[in-house]
Amino acid sequence: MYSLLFDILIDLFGIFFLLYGFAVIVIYMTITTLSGLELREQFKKNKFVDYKDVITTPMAPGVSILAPAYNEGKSLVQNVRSLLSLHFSKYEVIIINDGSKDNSIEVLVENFDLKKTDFAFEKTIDTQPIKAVYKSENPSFSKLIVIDKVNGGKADALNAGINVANQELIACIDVDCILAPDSIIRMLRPFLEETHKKVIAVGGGIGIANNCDIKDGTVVKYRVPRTLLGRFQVIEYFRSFLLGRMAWSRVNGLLLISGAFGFFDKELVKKVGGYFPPTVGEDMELVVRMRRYMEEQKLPYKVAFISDPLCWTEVPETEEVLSKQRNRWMRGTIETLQLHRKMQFNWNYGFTGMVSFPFWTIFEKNAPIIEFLGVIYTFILIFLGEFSAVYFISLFVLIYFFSVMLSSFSILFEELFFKKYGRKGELRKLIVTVLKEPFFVHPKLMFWCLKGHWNFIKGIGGWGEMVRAGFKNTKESRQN
Amino acid sequence: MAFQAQIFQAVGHQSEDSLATITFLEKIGKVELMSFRVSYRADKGRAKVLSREFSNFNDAMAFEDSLHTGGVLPVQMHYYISDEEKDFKSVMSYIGIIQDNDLYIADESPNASDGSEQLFIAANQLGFKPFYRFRSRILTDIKFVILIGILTLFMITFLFLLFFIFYIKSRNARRERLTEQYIEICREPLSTFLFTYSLEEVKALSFDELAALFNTKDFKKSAFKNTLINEIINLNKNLKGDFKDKLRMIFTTLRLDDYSIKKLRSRNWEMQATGTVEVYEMNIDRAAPYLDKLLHSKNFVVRSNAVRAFLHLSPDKDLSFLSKQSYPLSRWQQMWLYRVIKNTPSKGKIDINSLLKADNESVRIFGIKLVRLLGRMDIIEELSEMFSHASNEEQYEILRTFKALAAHTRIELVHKSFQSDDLKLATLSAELMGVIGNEISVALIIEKLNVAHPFVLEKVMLKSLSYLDREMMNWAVRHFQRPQLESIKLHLNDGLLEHV
Repeated sequence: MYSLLFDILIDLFGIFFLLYGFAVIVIYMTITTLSGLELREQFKKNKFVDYKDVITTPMAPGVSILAPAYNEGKSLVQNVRSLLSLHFSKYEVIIINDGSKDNSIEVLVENFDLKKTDFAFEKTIDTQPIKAVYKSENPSFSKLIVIDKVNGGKADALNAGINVANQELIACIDVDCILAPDSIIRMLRPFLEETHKKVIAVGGGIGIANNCDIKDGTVVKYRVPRTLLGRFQVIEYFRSFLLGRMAWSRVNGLLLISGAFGFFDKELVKKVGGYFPPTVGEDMELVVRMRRYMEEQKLPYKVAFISDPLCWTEVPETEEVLSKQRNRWMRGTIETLQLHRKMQFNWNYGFTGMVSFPFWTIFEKNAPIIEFLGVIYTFILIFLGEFSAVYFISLFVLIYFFSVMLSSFSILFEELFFKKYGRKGELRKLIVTVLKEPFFVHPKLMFWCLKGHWNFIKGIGGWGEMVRAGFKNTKESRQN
Repeated sequence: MAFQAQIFQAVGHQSEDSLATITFLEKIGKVELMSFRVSYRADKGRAKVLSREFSNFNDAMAFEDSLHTGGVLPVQMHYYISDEEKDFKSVMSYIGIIQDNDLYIADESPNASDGSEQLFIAANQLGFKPFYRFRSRILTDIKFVILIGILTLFMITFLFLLFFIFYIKSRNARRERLTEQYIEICREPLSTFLFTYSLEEVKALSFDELAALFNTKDFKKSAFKNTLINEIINLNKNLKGDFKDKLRMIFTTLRLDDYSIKKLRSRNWEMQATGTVEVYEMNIDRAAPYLDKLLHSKNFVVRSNAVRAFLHLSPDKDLSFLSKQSYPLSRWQQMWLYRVIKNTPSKGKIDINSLLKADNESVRIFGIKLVRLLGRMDIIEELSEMFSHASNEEQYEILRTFKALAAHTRIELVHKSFQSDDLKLATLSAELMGVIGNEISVALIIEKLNVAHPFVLEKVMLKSLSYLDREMMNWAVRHFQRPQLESIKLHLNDGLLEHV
């Protein structure tokens, strides 16, 4: 009796893994096709726009750039200067010092001639107390507002910024990101182009700045990072931004806009209550909540994505830091999906509820668990003597080539539409990374994500420390 | 048999088991990992001789019997398991395991005496093929065939992608090199025309004379023409006055305008859009009629560019075509159009009224914005008239326009909208009252401040009040004693926050 039940279970698991694998292949092939179409369309459209024409237009909406900073004293001045030199006429930069323990605020006050003001604002969203709001006495820095507040985490800092923001749109960025000079006007385009739906948020492509040359706040020379982990993340960002997000944007199913670079409709963000500080996945959570609100109100809306890399960031190149980051991302995903589980397979939430949300649950959140179960299943089969080496090897090679193929598509798209890594040997290095990744990086990633699941269950939270090597070449380039 | 007797002697009471072992060995002949040898004394010498190794027990027995028959004595059977000699007890134990686990193949060779020989002979004459062969197993297992099929597909796709990536890379490099070559070819003649020739001299040149100066066989190639057009457009964007006229003259003399107009007639939207950009940039006014069809194109990019180009090229700057447009005019298009209109010398004469009467709301809104941005005070009256039946968005734009143009005569309308329940409308009205307001405005604001309102409205009301009557603002804050009003007052009094 028990033996029969066990055999049935083994068979059922076998069928489940087969169907899951089949679904993964079909879905990612669809994503690749959709992203290819979307990229092609955006690329063609971009050829006919001269952004310089509209940078100074009085008809464009204003943008408040919100950049939370925590213990960033060393690089803060340079980063703020870079933000103040963007090519756009109607914007303000709001730096939120989230209770830094270093000398961030002193550095800002000294370098930008800041004075405490009696800034009045409506506390639409509850935040940790604000100690002071600073403005500069120097007209050159008139766009700058600095908020000094009690520490409350990134989401809380952004909420404080939202309360103070004066413009129609908000751009939430990481303060150490490097923005392209024309990034604002490019990101505004979807907000201004759409006529039938309200564009509630726009995400932007992010590039990896490790090992690149940076001059005057712009990446001038692209190089792939030196380490395998760094190079792997270049490929991963290609896959994520050029394949995943482009495809989801095409079908208006995008659930995640990176916290490092995203534009939002301020009024809507306020309406839904701003960022949710208890979660570590505040970026995804906000987008899901905004979508949920629009679906519940039955309002036509769109979350758009711009593929051009308009923002560069430094990625961790050590296992210690990367593992913490992935652990946090996984916890953030789980938290968001748990918080809005009502949307799961719910017709009332349209495409988001029926497709995007389940996709994230099944293929993002649960993927590491299913992979882990797959490994256990294989060992059980070996133990029972029902293991077929021929099938195993064939499936293994199949999955390997599928993964390699997907990554190759993302490289192809980069090469077709952006051509950033044009130096001799760069492409070869990327392809070698693609071939190595499934063996040397993917298992570790799965482990870190599983740890994220475990930490979520155990209620272990926090952000972990992001140790940055700093844009080593920045200084060199600036000195030249 | 002598050998069996010998064994029985050796193992004594285990004779039954020993017999069973010997019988078993005789029956199956070969046992996995077992081998046998026979030892004897050759030529009556002292030294023992060991026979060759037998894998079949029966062969070893036969050899031993032959020695007996030949009178060679004594003889002894030696047992080897995995090439290691074992005593008979170990052999019995090993055979026991073999028997218990069915690890043997029964020797069922046909026995002539049982009468089945004919049957075996007949069976052997059949064309026998093994059913389970590895290759046939793969081909008959459909799941495996599918798996291998997909795998092959992926591998081929990967290899194809790899090839394609490198092909694209080299193609791009080739194209870039070609474009650079063409730019190099274009650069010198263009700078000669611009800086050596006068406008009259350029005008006097024929197509052949001009083309000859480029000294290239590729002149008729579309890649060269496109590069040349781009170079001319780039120069045109960065130069002014006479230079622009010269560039336009070169463009038309080289019949590049025909080439651009040809693009407008293409079915491909990309070509159409490229053509519209070219005729717009080079001011090819004879292209205007060709743009007519593209004004209503389904493609957003084509439509946007065509509208911009048409507006730029049409001699009378008539905007009536916009009022007929059925597609909503996006804010992005409005920005483009405004840029064209702003750079039009006769922008003051543009007929905005037709836009205000359009059925399309977005066109009406654009019209209102134009009134504001072009400073058309003469259309204020029309805006006032349309206010009462306008949509919310239009009303917001009208109020913004009144503010920008300081439309003092419209204060009654503003007072009325200030009473609206629509927060945005009330806020815009309050803001406007700060610019064009009067005593009644002050009274209305004070009255409204009596009750608490959202922050944004209170801030605007106090700000307007401070413009109209600062004393009254201070009084209101003192009188109503609300912390929010207090903080707003401090904000308004802070010089650094003047524009925030």
